Amino acid sequence: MLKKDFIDDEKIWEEINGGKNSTKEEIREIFKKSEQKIRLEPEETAKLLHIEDEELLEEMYELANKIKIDVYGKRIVFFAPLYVGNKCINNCIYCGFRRDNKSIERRTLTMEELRKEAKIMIDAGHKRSIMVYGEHPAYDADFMAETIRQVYSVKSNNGELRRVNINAAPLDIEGYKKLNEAGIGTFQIFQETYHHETYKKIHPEGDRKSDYQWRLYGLDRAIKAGIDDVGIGVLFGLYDWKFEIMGLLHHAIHLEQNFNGVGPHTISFPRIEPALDTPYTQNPEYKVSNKDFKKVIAIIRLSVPYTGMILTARESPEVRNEMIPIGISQIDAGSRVGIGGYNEYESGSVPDKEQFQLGDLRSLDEVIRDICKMGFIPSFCTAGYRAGRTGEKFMSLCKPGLVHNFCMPNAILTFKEYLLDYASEETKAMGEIAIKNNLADLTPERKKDVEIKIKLIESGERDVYI
Amino acid sequence: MYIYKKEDLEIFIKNTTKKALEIKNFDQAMKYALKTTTDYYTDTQMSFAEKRGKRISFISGYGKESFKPVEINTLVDKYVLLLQNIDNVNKDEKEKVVNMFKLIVQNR
Repeated sequence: MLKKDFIDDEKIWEEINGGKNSTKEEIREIFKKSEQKIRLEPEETAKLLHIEDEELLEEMYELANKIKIDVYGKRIVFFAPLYVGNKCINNCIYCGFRRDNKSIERRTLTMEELRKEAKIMIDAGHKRSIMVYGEHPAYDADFMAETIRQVYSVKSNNGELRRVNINAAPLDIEGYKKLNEAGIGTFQIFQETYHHETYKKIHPEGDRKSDYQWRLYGLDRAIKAGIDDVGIGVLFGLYDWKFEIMGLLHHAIHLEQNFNGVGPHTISFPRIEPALDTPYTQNPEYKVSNKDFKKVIAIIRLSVPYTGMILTARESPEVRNEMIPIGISQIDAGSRVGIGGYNEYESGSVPDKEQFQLGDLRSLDEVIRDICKMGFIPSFCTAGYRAGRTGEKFMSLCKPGLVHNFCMPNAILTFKEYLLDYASEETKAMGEIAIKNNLADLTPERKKDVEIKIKLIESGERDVYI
Repeated sequence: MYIYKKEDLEIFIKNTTKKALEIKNFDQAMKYALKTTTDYYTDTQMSFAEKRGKRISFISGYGKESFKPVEINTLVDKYVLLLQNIDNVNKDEKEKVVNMFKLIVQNR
């Protein structure tokens, strides 16, 4: 008999059901608490899950955007994934990379290919990447640490990848220590689904991934090994979205309670997408509609106001444009999710044998233009983790909504770099307006500081940050 | 520019070092030194952190947040001292303060 973990399925359903039939007044009281950037309790989040009233929904979406801006400012951080290898010992029924999928060509990048991928990303203007690995003995901690060092070593013209985050299978403490030694940013583990029974059903028994608790406590071990920025996530569409939001919240609370108030650095909420020869993905029972997805995003923002929220290019441009202004703080762009996908794309082919299908194939430059049009400012900032703003320190800035004092100047500075080194003429023109507008929002003293640093960038200096 | 009599700084460093070294728990010793030093240099912020590649992981820190760039000083091996809003402290004084922290870390 397994010991109980901090996800109590029955209790979560009780909380969800207990949240039904709330009055508008009750809901607005919860809004007020979120507005003060206080993390919600499960009973409060449960009430938000049942909002159907259009007026309240609109209020919630507006508030989600306000909270995000209060905490992080108007910046949207950009990154791109780098898929290192798709060998996998697991047979998860929803995944294109599952062991028994013979339609997928199994491949692991050589170090040379890896550097080539990194160079293409750098030449597009990226500064931040998330490296993704299947779960396989070939991708042990030593291998991952070496790939991280290789990627960090690549320089091209003025560019380099300044922050490498990791999305990989859970490791033991010794393994995490090796990654920490290589200087990673955030370590992400998505629980996929928090619902025990569903987890068991979709992760065949005997597979390494079938151990729910090994995965659930994977980030605890990462933190114990010294990685104090961790990301959680769910693959929406595997189980009821209301339950999954509660699971994410309970996970955030678990981390806060066990690690000096340090909650998740980021929360991700990908929706299941069709994948090659993966029937489960064609019509999943718990598919989340766009309408509900919008609620998912806003409720997460209100429930965990301090966290970074990541919306990926799985989603179409239309969906992304609709969802970004309700609390999103990070997006990827110009992404390729195949092994060697950047190089293949440069050579003129769009790979179809990927883990899932991308919904947004726009270039980084195009997405940046759209972000500017929406009134946000693109950011390539990687300063925080290089200036000691990690773990408890990062939380002490995020929770009271102060981190924007770093985020906005660094967004302007890194975006200026992008405009000078990589942007098309059209994006440059639009970007300069965005910089001017966002400079105007800074305090006079801060504005002066940033303008001095912009001059340094214009004179050729790079990696200028606060 | 902060102005302190030279003997004040010497006494401050001597006393802080002595007390920090008396504290058996290294974490507590560093917290004591950071707290005392940021009380001495008001409006500054000082943090103790661990450098791993590009990453500098926060361990502990005190002082006022001014949202200014941090100055990174290596203490011993992977340990660093981050100083914020320290421009008004002259170079010699700053060096003495950093050396005090080096001594505390070396004797951990």
